[in-house]
Amino acid sequence: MSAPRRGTVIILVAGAAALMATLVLAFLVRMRSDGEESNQVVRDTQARIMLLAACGYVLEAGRLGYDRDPQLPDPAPHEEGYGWIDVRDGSTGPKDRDGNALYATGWPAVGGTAICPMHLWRRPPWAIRTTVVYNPIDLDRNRPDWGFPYLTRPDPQPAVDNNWPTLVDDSRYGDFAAGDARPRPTSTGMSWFRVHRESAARFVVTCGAGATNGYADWSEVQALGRAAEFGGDEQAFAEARAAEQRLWYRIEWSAAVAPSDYHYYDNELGGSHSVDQYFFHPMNSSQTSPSRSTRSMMRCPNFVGTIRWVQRLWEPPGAW
Amino acid sequence: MPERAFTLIEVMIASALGLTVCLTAFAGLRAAAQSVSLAERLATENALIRAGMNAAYHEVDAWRTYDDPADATRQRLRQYDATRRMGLPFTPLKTSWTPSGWSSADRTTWDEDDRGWNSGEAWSMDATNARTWWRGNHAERLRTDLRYGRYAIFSNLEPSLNVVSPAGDYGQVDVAHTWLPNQLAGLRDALGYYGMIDYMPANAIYGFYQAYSGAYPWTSWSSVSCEWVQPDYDWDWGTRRSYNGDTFSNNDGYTCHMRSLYSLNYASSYALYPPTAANAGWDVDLLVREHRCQKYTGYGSDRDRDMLPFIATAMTADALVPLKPTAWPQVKVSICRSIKIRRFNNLCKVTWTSPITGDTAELSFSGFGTTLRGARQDRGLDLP
Repeated sequence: MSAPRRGTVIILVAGAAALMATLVLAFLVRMRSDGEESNQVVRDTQARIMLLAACGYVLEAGRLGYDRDPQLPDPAPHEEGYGWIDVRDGSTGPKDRDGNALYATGWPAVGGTAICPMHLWRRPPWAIRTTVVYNPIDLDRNRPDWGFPYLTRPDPQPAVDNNWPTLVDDSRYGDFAAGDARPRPTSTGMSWFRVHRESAARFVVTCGAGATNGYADWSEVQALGRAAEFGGDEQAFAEARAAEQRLWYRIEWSAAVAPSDYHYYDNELGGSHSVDQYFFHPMNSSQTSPSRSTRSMMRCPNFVGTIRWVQRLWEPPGAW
Repeated sequence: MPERAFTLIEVMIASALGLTVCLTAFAGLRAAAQSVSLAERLATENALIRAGMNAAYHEVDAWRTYDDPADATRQRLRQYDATRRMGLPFTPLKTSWTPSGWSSADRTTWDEDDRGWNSGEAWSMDATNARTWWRGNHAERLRTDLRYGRYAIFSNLEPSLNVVSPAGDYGQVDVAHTWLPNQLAGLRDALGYYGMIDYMPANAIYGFYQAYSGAYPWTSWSSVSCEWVQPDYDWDWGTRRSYNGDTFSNNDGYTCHMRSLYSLNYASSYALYPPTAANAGWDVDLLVREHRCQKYTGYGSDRDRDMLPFIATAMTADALVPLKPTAWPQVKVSICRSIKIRRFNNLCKVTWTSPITGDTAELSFSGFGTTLRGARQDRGLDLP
C-alpha cells in the first residue's frame, strides 16, 4: 500500500474512533448528570422517610420509657413513661410510675435534643434468630409424633450462640441484651434525624439524608467529641454537609389514641335500624356471622399517642 | 508511454465498494444521531419526571395548589359564607369563629363556656382536662328507647334546654359540659369536615346531644344530633341537597350511633377541593356545601356517578411546564387530599405523555408532610 493510501486509512480510522469516543463521552457526561439529579430525588425521599421515623421516635420516646442505666450489660430495669404530658396529672413528662422524671438535663427534657443516625446495628439488643419453624409438625404417618404440634425445641432462640442443642448456657446473655452496636457498613452515611423538644409536647424535627450523622456543624461535632466519626477532618464534614439534604418540621404530640370503635349487628339482625340492641362486632372481628359483614376496626394497638399536626419550616428555626 | 487506465471492471468494483463504504458510514452516522436524539429525549423525560416528583413533594408541604399565600387570586378556600356563618378550609379563624369567654392573653384558664379556637387548645395541653372528655352513651342508637337514661343532660350543645321527647319529658336542665360539643360544631362550621377532623384529636367521638326540635331530621328524641350519625341526613336543614354525596356518616351498615371515624367513612371519603377544571365554577355556596359532605369512594361506589366526579373535583392535574417545547413530554402533577377509614391520604401522581407515541405512564404515591393545620399555621390563619 502506498504512503498516501496508508495516510488516508489512518485518518478515516482516527476520525471514526474520535467520533465514537465523543459519543461515549457525551453519554457518560449525560448519565452522570442524570445520576446526580436522581440522587437529589433519592435524598429528598430519604429525608421524608426520616420524618416518619422521627414521628415514630417521638411517639415511643415519651411512652415506652428509658433504661435507667444503659451502660450496664443488662439494661434492666427499664422504666415505662406516661407521655410527654403525663396522662395522669397533666405535668410535663416523661415520668416513671412513681412520678419521677425520667431525665435530668438534656434529652428528653424540654430544650434537649436527640441526634439519631439511622445506620443499622450489626445486631440489635435482644435479637432472636430468624428461624421460622423450630418445631415442624412431623408429616411421616409411620411415626408416633405424626401430626402433633409438639414444642420439643426452644422457640425462639437468641441470635447469639447459646450452645443449643448441646448444653445451653447463659454466658453470652450480656451480649444478647446489649446487641452489637457496630454499624453495618452498607447502611452508614445515608440518613438521620434529630428531635429538639421545644415545649412539653412540641418538637422540631430535622430530617437529613447524607453523611453528617445529624450534627448541625463542626463545632457541635467537636463539642460532642465525635470528630473521630469524620477522621478528625473538618473538610470531610463540610463536604458531607454540602451534599446533604435537610428538612425542618415542627410537630405536636398528643396522648390521644384511636378510640375503640365497633360495628353494629344491624345487618345481621335484619337491618330494622329502629331499636337499641347493643350488639356489636368486637375489635378486629373476622370470624363472626359468616357471609355477613364482619367489619370493625382492626389492628389499633396504639398506646403511645399520636401526632396532632405537622408543619414544614422553610428555614431552620433558632434551636434545633 | 501512456499510463494504463482503469478497466471498466475495476471502475465498477471500485464504485460499488466506495458506495458501500459511503452508505455504511451514512447509516452509522444516522444511527448515532438518532441514538443521541433518543438519549436526549429520554434524558429530558427523566429530568421532567424528577422535576415532577420534586414538585409533588414540595406541594405535600406547601399546599399552594389549595391556597397560594403569594397570590390573592388563588385563595378561594379562604372565603366565608356570612349567611350561613360557615368558612372553608383556609378561612382565617378570626373571621369564621368569633372567640368568647377567654382572651388571647389567657390561654391557661379553661372554662366550659369558652367558645372559639384557642391556639393553645385544651387537647394539646392536658389529657386530664375534664372538658375534653366525651360524655355520652356510645352504644345508644339514634332513635333510642332511652333504656339507659338521658345522657343529653350531662353534655349538650346548649347550656340550658328543655328536654322533651315522645318517651317522656324531662324538663328544663342546665348542662354542665358544653365545651366539647361546641368545639365540634364550631370546627365543622369554621373549616368543614376535613378541617374539623384535622383539628380534632385522634380519639374524637363524632357526635353530641342537642335540643330536640320535634321535627325530623334535626334531632332524635334522645337528642342525638342526626347530622353525625344518620346517613341520609340533609345537613342544610332540608333546604339543600349535597352534591353527589351524603353528609357526615356513610351508610355502611346503617350504623346510627355516635362513634369515631373508622366506620363513619368506611365506604367514603372526606376531601378538600382545590381549583380544577371541573369545579372552576363553584361559588362559595357550593364550596361550603361540598366541604361538608362525604363521597362514596369505597365498595358500592359507582364509576360514573361517584368516582369520576370525585377525581375530577378533588384531584388536581396541573401541567408542570405549561409553556414547553413541543418535543418535550407533557408532565402533570396531581394531588388529592382526603380522609378514608380514618386515614389521611395525600395521593400524589406524576403523569407523563410522550409527544411522539402518545403513551402515558404515571407514578403514584402517598406523601407524608405538612397537615392542614400546619399549612394554616404557616399562613397565620389560626391567630385570634
